[in-house]
Amino acid sequence: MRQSCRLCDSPTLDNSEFCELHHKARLSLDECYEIWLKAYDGELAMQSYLQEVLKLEETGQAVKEMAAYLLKLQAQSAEDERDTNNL
Amino acid sequence: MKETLIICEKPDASLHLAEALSEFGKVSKREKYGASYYEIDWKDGRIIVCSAIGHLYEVDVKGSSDRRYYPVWDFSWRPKYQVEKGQRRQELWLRAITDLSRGVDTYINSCDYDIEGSLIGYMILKYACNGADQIAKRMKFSTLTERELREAYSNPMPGLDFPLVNAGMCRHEVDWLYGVNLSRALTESAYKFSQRYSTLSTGRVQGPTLRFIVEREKEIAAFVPVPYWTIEAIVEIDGREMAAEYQIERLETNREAEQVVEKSSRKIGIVEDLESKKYRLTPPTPFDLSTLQAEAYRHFGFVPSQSLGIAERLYLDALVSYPRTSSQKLPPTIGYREILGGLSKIPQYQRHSNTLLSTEALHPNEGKKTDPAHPAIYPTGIFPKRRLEPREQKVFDLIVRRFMATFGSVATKQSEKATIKVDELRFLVRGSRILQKGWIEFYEPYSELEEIILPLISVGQEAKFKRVSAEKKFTQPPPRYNPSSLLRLMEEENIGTKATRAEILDTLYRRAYIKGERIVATSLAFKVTELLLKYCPRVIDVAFTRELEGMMEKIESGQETREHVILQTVENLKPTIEDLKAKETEIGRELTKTIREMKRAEITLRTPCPECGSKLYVIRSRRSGKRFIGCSGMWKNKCRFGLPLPQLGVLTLLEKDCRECGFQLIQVKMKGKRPMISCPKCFQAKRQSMTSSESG
Repeated sequence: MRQSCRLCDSPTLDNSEFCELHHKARLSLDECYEIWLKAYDGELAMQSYLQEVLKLEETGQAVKEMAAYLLKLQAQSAEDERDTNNL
Repeated sequence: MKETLIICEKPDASLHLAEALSEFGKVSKREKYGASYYEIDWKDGRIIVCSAIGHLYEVDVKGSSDRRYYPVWDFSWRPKYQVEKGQRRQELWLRAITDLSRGVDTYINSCDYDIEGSLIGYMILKYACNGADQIAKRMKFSTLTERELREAYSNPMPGLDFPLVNAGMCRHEVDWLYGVNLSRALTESAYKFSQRYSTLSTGRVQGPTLRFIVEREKEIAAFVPVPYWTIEAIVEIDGREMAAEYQIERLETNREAEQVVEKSSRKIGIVEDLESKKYRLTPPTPFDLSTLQAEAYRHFGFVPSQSLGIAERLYLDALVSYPRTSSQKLPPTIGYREILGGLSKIPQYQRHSNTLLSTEALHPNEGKKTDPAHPAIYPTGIFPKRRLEPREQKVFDLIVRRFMATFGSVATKQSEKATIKVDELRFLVRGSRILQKGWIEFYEPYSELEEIILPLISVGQEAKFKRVSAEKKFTQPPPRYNPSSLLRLMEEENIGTKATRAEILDTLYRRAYIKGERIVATSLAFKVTELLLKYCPRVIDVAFTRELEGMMEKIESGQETREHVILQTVENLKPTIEDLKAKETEIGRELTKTIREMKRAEITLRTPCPECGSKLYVIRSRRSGKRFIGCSGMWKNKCRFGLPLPQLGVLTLLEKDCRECGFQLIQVKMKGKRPMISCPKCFQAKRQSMTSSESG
């Protein structure tokens, strides 16, 4: 298990890759996605949601860091998939 | 010849008292070792009125010890000049009081009637007047008006108010035990690890208060805004346009919002229902300290410690009553009519005070809160003898108008609501009007009651929807505390006292734990709170602090003893401090890292180097000692970019950017001067263009 959070140097929570604050941010992002999805009649991809959240000034700093991290992960996995297909 | 020595809390108060007692004989102003005092000679003897200059004694380690050593459990009360450096004035002042006390028959403590005042007087009488605390009397008053001071002098309490004294001593001792041990533990841990000294502090009230701020900061940091839609419409009724709102304030989906706009735009609706309600608005309650501080912050932006300072100056000028009160009561004994009579001589209050004086009976709308020592804050009715400074004038005006408003009659307001039906949807048009001004008239500049007068509308009338739009909005994070709301929270949670809360807030700013008017917790605040939560959670546990507060309050009513509370405190604190000491290295490492990061952040600009994109720093030249903005790419990219900076004053990098060039703005604050905000890049550009035009 990692000793410090993937996004900052704080110690991780038990059974989490993140510190208390980033873990909370992750949970909030997941919870709120459901509300956003409902607001746009189910037509909102996770990527667009994260991009939107990242742009808003009301968004908390820890959430922005988490959203940016998740987007980066998504981009990486898309790239990996492309590479695999090309092989 | 009989001699009486009266001890006041401050020199201004001693002057007022001497003036009030001048009916007994001639008042002469004297000075001893730089301390002023007054003598009143009368047929039966002499009255000496002297004063303290705030606390002259304080808690310190018993015996001598290294100032960095901890834990420390043995303490004693010592003259302040022996504990703190640079207190020569206090030393001479005490010597003067001791000299004056020789041969005195009667001693009176005339310091402000509260915990601090009782303690200040007691310490002086006990230690500087050779144990006179046992025979001294106590004057009790709430204003420095001649009438009240004479009355208090003629009918003093036969002895000192020892329960208050004990409560005061206990509070200082408990706070000292907490403060000195915990703060030394933090400071020493950081020092031992880094060999660099940074003052870190926490305390019985400071710790839980900081925790509130940090918790709020975490909520804000983990906040995800959620969209919602509001519908705004402009309807025309009888040729007049007015704003209407959709019956549901927030729509959760985009589709719903679009449907409402589609169904109502350019349609004709019908006024379906009219409703009007009358409300009674009761007068405000008299000011206790925290409501005064909240109002002064709301209307003038004064931070709580500022408002308290101003109110105390007004009190020392005998213009208002004692401000450190938690009472919302105005007993008839303060003399409502005399006060209003006095206020009627001040032109701007003449009309309102005469209106009140013409009423048959005067009854203030008192609040629930009480204070055994003082009534609520009220004006004395005395005409200001000097021209008040603008800020003093504002607080004075607020207190006077609030006082008058509490005697005003109930105000009545009528709210009106017209429901317009279009398709199956309903929109609302709202209005409000004040029917009877009542107390609002007295408190007008501060009451902020808005009126929206609707035209005559009747049921069945047509309403044309001229414009309907859906606006997408987002939920907002919880608001940051401001000095006023934080003080209110501390009061609600019953931590700290009315006298100390504002000071705690100042300390948090001074220690760089918090910044800004909308309070932001710094990374150091996060770290200190995290460490305290990890190693000594009870210290920042609000419930525990409240419990301790309750025990200390019980001393005032004689239900608890000072000794017992101190024993309990030491018992609770001992294992915690020992634990902290054992983990010094671990704590020191974490603190040092945060302090270094903070210090680095303080000198790192947000704007990157315009030439190479590297980070810019505020650098101090080792050779010349001058500060400037330099580029971190100097070694890597050989970037020579640099900007000059003002050499004097405290430099702060602001969050704002220059409107002209987008470079980060800086602020320079010199003592006693207004802060200067400037853009280093524009400054450099201007300087260069001036130089080239001069040479051209």
